[in-house]
Amino acid sequence: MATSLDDLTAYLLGRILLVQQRLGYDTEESPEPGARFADLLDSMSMVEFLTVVARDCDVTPAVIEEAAGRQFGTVAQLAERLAAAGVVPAAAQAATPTLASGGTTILPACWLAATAVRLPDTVQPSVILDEALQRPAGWLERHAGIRQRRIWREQDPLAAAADAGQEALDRAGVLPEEVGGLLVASEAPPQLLGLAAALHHRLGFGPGAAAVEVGGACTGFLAAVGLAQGLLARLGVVVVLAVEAPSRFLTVQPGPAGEAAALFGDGAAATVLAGQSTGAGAVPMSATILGADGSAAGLVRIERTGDAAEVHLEGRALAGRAVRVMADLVRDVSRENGLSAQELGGVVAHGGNGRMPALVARELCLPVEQVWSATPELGNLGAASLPVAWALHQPRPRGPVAWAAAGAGLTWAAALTGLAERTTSR
Amino acid sequence: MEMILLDWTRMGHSYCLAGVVAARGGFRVVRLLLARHRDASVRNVGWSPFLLDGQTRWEVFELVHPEPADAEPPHVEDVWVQTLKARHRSIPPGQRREVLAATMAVPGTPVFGTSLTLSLASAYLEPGTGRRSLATLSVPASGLRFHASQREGVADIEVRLSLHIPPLGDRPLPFKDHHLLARAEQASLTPEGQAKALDLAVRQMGERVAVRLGLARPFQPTACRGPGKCWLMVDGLFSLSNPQA
Repeated sequence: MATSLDDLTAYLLGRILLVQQRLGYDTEESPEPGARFADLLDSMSMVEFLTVVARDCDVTPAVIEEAAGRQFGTVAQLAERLAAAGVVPAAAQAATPTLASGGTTILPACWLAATAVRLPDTVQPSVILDEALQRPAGWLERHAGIRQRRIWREQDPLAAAADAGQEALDRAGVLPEEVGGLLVASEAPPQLLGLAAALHHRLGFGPGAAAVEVGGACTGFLAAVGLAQGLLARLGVVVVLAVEAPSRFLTVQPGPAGEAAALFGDGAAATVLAGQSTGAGAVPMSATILGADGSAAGLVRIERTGDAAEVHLEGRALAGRAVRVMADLVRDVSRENGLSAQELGGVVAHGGNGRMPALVARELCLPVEQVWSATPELGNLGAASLPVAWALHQPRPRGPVAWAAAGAGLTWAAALTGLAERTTSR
Repeated sequence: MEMILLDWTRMGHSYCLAGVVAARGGFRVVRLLLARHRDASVRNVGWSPFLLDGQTRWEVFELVHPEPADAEPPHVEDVWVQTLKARHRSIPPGQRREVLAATMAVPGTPVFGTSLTLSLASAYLEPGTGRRSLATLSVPASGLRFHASQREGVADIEVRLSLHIPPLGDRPLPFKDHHLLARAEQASLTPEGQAKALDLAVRQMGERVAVRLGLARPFQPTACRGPGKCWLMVDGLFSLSNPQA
C-alpha cells in the first residue's frame, strides 16, 4: 500500500482528535506529530484509539500494539512503526483521498449547501393541549414527551416556507435563476393542489426549473433528497422544501384521534442541494437509502370526517417499529460509509413523538444527547422534522452525522452528512 | 457482619474491594468504603496496600461498624465500614461457586439493570443510572484475549481483556484483577510477557470462566469537560470449576 508517512501521521492525528471529541476533551485542534500519547490520551481514551485504528486497519488492537512494540511514545513514532510493520488503514476515513488502494472510491452524492427554518409564532404549551384533550396537566408530556408545539394560526405557511427557501439560497450563495428544481415534501400541505408551483412562483424560479411535490409523510424530506440526488447532474442545484400545517386539518379534542392530532406541530424548512460545494456551511451528503413495507400501512391511517380529517395511529406498534427501523438505518448507512454508529458525531432522527429519539439512542447504545430531534419543543413536524432538527442543533460537533426517518406507509430513509470523498475497501 | 472478599481490583496505587454478605438465604454484594474518608470529595479513596498485606480473595472478614451509604447509582452496593478484621479463614470451592452463581447476570436482561452506552470501543453508564455496579458473566475461556502496552511516561503497564459481551459484541476492557495482575507481574516485566502470562492463566482455568464485570466510579480525563462516566471494566476472572484466590 503506497501510504506516505505524512498521510499516516495525519490519519493518526485525525483519529486522536476523533477520540478526544467523542470523550468530551476540551480541544478543537489536532495535536502535533511530536506529542506524546501520555499527554494526549488517558488509559480509557487509549483503548478507544487503539480499537478505532485496529478497525480501520482490519486487525485487532493487539496487532497495533505489537507493531508499536507495545510502547507508545509520540504520534510520529507510532506512524513510523506502523508503516514499518505494514499496518496501515484499509479504510482511510479520516485521511485524504490519496490513501487509495484499489478499493471503492465513494463520492458524496451531493452537497447540503444550506438549511433554513421558519417556525410559527404561536406556541401551544402541552398544558393547553392537555386541557383540549380533557386530560390532566402533564399528560401529553408524560405520554408523548412533547412539552409544546407551534401552530401557524393566521400566519401564511407558504410565505414562511418561501422565506426559508430564500434564506437557504442566500446562505448557499445561489441565485434563484441558478436553481434547476424545487422538490416540496409535505404530509399536511397548507395547499392541496399546486403547492410546489406556488412556492416556485414565490421564490422567483425560472420557468425551466422543475416544481415537484413529494409525498412520503415523515420520510418525505429524505425521499425528496434521494430524488434530488438523482436529478442534480441535470439540474445543477435543487431546493428541497418541507412545509407542514397539520393544525389546519387535525383537531385536538378528547379521544384517540384528537390525542394523535396533538402530537403534530407546524413548521417549514428549506435546504439547498448542489452537485458541488457552495456556501460556507456546505457539507457532503451520502447517497440516500430508501425503503418501504406497505404491509404495515395500517399502523398510520388518515380518515376523512366531513370536511376534516382524523389521524389514527397504532401508537405502541408504530413507535416500536419506527425506532427499530431508524436504528437499523443508522447502522446501515454508517456501515455503507465505512463507519460504525459509535463513530458518528450525531444522529438526526425523526421524532414521531418526543420519546422516540431517546429510544433510538438506547437501541444504538449512544448517549441520548447524540440523537437530535426538535419534537419535544415543536411536536412531530412530519417531513420538516429532520431539516428542522439539523438546523436547530447548534453548535454541531464535527464528524459524520446520520439522518434517519420512518413514516406512514411504512416508508423509511437515511443518509449521512459530513464525510468527504474517500476510498474504502469495505 | 461477615463478608466474603470477592473483588480486589487495582485503582492506581490503592485497591477497591467488594464482597458478599449473607442475606435472605443468599448473598448481597457490598462495596467497601472506609468511613474515615466519608468527608472526602470522592467516595472511592481506595484501600491502602498496607491494610491488605497478606490477605487474599475468598477470605472472610468482619465488617466493623458497617453502615449503608446513600446510593449513588450505579454504585448502589456501597457500605461504609470503620475497618476490616480478617477471620483467617477462606470459604471452600463449593461455596465460592455458589457466590459466583448468585451474582450471575440474568440472561436476556441488561447486566447492570439498564442498557450500557457504547463508546467507540468500550461501554459505560452515565452516573445516576443503573441498578448495580457489579455482576458476573460465564464465558468460554477460549474467547478471552489479553493485550497490554505502555504509554511512554506512564509507570503502569495497561492490560486489557477482549471479550464478547452480548449484546455489546467484542469489547476491549481494562483489566483490574489485582491477583492475576500480580501473578503476571511476577512472571514478566514486559507488556508482552504479562499478556502471555495472563493468557496462560486463563487457559488453565477450564472451559468456562467467570468474568466479574464492574462499573468504575465516574471519571474522565482531566482535559475533559462535563461529568465523568462509569466505564465498564473487568474486575476479576475466576475458574468456574475451582474458583481460585
